[in-house]
Amino acid sequence: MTLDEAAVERLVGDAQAGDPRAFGRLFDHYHASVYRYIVSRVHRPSDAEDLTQLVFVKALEALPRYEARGIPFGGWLFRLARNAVIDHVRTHRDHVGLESASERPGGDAGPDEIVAVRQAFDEVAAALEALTDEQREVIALRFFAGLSAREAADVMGKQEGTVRGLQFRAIAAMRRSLGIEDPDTTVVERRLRPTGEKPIGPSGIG
Amino acid sequence: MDEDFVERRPGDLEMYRRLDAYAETRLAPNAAAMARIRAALMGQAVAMADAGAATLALPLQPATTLPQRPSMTLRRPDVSRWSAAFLAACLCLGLVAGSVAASTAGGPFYGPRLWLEEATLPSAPLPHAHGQLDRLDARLEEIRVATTNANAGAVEAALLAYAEIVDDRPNELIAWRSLPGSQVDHAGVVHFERAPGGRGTQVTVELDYTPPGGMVGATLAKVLGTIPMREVQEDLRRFKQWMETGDIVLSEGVVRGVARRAVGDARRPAPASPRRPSPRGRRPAPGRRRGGARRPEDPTR
Repeated sequence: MTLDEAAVERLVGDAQAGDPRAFGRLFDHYHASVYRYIVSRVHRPSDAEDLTQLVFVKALEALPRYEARGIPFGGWLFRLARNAVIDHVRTHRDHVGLESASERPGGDAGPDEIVAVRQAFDEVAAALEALTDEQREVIALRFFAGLSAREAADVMGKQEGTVRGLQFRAIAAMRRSLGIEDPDTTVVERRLRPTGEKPIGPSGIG
Repeated sequence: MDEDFVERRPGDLEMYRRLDAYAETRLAPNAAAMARIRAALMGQAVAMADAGAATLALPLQPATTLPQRPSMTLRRPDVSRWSAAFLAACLCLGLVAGSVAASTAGGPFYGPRLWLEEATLPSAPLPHAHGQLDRLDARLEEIRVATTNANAGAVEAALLAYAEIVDDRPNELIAWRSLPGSQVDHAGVVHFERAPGGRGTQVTVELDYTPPGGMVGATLAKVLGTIPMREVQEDLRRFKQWMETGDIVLSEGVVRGVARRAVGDARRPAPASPRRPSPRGRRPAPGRRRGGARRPEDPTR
């Protein structure tokens, strides 16, 4: 379900006026991204479902007091989600790896393909685990929840440039973990390196 | 998100693709669970909408029948709230003032007040005695005030209370306290307790005093050997002898191995033969005699 910002604001206004169907459409629009963000943070699908419901219940109760004030409804909703995740992590110290998240591969995939996909996702999960907490949150908000850099910055209470820097470093770290080479970096280093000097690091090999 | 990806290097695209695939595969919500959550939310939203509609409908009915007096409806709760607070404060103040007046000597609350004072005294002997002394002072002050006001009933009540405190524990303790303006501010308690096994009476003296001159005065008294506690110990020893023998034996007392100058030197009986007293009144240690002269035996030892 795709809605532009104006349509979302209209739905929010209708929901504030007491239209339950408008709130239902808002749920349809945001529930998948909210769930993906939450499950990437708490790792356990059952907890993520409970927290998703909690976030929308809080949103429903607080909707009459919501005012845009420069923060769009999506950013406000993900702030609620982030606070719910923080509260959950504080009270539930048991850690569950990202590998335990539910996996639903395509129905026509063969056993070998399923194993290969599962291994690839395990590697991504391990690379995510190696990130710092802020980097992991930026990845969750930008890639799993689908927020823009500005929206992610609003949710995290940081500057937009800070969020972009965190994302850059997180992607670079994951790329190193997964062994994905960057051909552009190799080219740049070849240009700058003086003649006869050996390359340094794995990106400069070759 | 797409507008931010334009500035990325081509090497990042593979990373983005893997993250998107990871999100779509491993982080996808369960459709059944989401449908269940949606149904619950919609039920709550409908209930809230109904409650909101009912709330909105309520003020519309009186608005058509009653005249609008916003200023009165806003001010009336404030006035009643302040009036109630003022009345409550006056009531509390009157109760306190009445209780204080009734608890003076001769008043209806004087008895409960004395009982409360007695019940709140500390249990330790010395603080208890000090508390009783304070109560005696308070009774004396009440007697003075009542006498000044020519209130015979108050004088009688305060005197009865005073006598009750004085006779509070006969044969157990005697307490005193210096009057205000005395040279040395002090207070003391003498406890009389039956010794174990019926072997007599154990007398304990507790003395609290403020030496004149503060720390300097206390140090000076210590240097000059006029420490009140030593004097008290000496007095106790003499009191014991007087009670047991009917007479006070005048001799030097040695307390805790320290030779002390006797208080009653003037009444010391003359020795059998004139002798030169040891310096500072000290008795030579056993086996260490001066000048080879044998010290005459003290008949009292």
